[in-house]
Amino acid sequence: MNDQILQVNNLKTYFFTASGTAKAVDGVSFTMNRGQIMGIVGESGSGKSVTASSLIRLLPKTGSIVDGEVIFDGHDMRRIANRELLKLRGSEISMIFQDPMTSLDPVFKIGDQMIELIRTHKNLSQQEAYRTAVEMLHLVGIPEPESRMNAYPHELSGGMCQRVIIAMAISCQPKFIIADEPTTALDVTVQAQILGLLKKLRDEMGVSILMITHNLGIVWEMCDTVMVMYGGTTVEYTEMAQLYANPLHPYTWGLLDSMPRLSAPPVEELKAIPGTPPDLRLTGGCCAFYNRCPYMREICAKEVPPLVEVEPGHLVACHRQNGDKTLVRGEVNQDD
Amino acid sequence: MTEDKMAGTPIIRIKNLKKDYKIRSSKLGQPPRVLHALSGVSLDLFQGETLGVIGESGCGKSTLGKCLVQLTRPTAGEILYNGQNLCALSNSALKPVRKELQMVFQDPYSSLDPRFTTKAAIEEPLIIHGLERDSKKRRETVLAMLREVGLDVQHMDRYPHEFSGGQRQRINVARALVLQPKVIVCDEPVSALDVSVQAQVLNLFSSLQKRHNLTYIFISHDLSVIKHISDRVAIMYLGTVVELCDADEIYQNPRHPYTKALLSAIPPDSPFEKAQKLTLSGEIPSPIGDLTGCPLAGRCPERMPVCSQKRPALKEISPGHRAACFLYHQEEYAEE
Repeated sequence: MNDQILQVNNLKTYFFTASGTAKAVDGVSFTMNRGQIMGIVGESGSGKSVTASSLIRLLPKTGSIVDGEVIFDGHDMRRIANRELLKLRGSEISMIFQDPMTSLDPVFKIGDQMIELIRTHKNLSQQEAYRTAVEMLHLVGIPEPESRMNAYPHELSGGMCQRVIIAMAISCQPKFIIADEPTTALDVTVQAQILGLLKKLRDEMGVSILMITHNLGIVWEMCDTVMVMYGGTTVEYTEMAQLYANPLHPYTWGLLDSMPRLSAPPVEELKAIPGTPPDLRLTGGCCAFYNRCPYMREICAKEVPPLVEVEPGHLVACHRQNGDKTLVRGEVNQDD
Repeated sequence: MTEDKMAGTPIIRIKNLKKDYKIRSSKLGQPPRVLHALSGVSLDLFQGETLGVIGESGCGKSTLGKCLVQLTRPTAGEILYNGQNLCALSNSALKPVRKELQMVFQDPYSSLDPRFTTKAAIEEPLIIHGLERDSKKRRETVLAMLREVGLDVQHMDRYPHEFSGGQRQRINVARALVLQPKVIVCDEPVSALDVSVQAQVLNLFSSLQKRHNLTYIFISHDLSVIKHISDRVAIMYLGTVVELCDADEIYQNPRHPYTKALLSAIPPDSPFEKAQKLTLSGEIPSPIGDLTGCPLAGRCPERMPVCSQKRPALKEISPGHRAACFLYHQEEYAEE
């Protein structure tokens, strides 16, 4: 059961705009096994959503995958024909987007939208599709699913809409779900319910989930492996427990330090990362984090740091953190 | 620190504040229904403290903030500031008071006029209140304010679209600060920002408070942010304050079932933290129409018969810790 479902090698997705080429994803590689939950963490503009959209070629016209390889369950997703891709999307791979209110069509009833999806991918009669839809709504914990089938999206709350989206996502028994910030628009108590639901799907149906989030708390709760992204590149990629116990990249340190912690004793000041995230039109040729990094050296501004396996299963892209040159967290700018 | 602040007289006293909105009925000829956004909030705000207000969407926390600065007029209740009841003042009598009560809004992108330069945005309140008629001196004041919030002279003549979210929020803070207010209501000022930038803005708020002896009402839905910045925390649910206590108490010793549920719904600080989960079933009931009993009664795991009949009052259960729950008002419960 523990075989690979997704392999991404050196993925590069660029956006060609009037003001220049934005390197939204600039060389990202990772693999996922069946039944695994992987998290991609990063701030806005770090390329985490574009990475996910690139997997199923769901990009706007200005963007395109310029290099790399995406192998999903034996399919080469970059070369596969559009017709084949349409079959995969929604049946084998489904996607859950951030904003539940805008992901559903406001002029169609919930039930009709679900039946349409099911009948597109499965050879079922109207009645059979209706029964499947009701069953799915029941599965995601929507009370009175029969009457909800006749509701329009605006009649449901945000949490309920997100449940409907999840019900749609699993209605064709996908092998793989991409969840792009599935709970960001929701309140915390509803978020807890939705996360519990996604975890249950993994445990009971063996679905692999790629979870995109900016909230490290969600990572601690949900994920098996984590990739931290910054400026379109992978900065750290390892198992979740490893990232928590022994984070190695300066950006990961900054991210962990700048989050206020509920269980920690009160502090006067948070350790913020100075500066702002980089302009993606200007990145490349150097470490994307060098101008905000307190451990910066000359080489950081000149060369792209390679992703190096620092310890078994722990990959870090940092000039100062490969092998013997080990940085100590918190000891800023101490010369070697 | 908190005790010194508590010893003073409150700078603002809110007494039984109510705000109702009339909602046109969906059926023709029927009387309008009433949405109770705030149903009886009483709070004291002390000089120099930060009072955090937390709750899920629709709990009335933003309405409370708007009522405080009289952006919307409350339906009933009193807000006492300097011995004056703000709710009873006319708009013209309110103008000098407004100078002392300022607000910073959530969305840094829509709260600045896109056609105003930074300088124009910051000097506008000075012109409105007739504080500085000499334009040269006004320029100096604006520059001093910009430096105060971490911007500089080169940012003066730029337009909002040229700034990042964090910088815009700094401009918003400068605009609120330029009138030298005593109280600033911050309505989710960091929710639209990335974690690394959020930490910078939170630090800015803390340092400004120390330098100018400001009093904050800090509204947020993020409990870890609230706990970090606040001295005291008010937890709101469906238009009422259900618990009011010191910021440290809320994590160490939550009393109200809703607070406990909120805490256990928040993603953990570490992967190894497995707190017992107290999940609320269902969703927040609609604030439309009259509600008898405790607002949480339908979802509460510890409900008693009395909960659906009477509304619990916010009462002190230990020094400096108030909760509105019948679990802690046994004597009152026994009388019935």
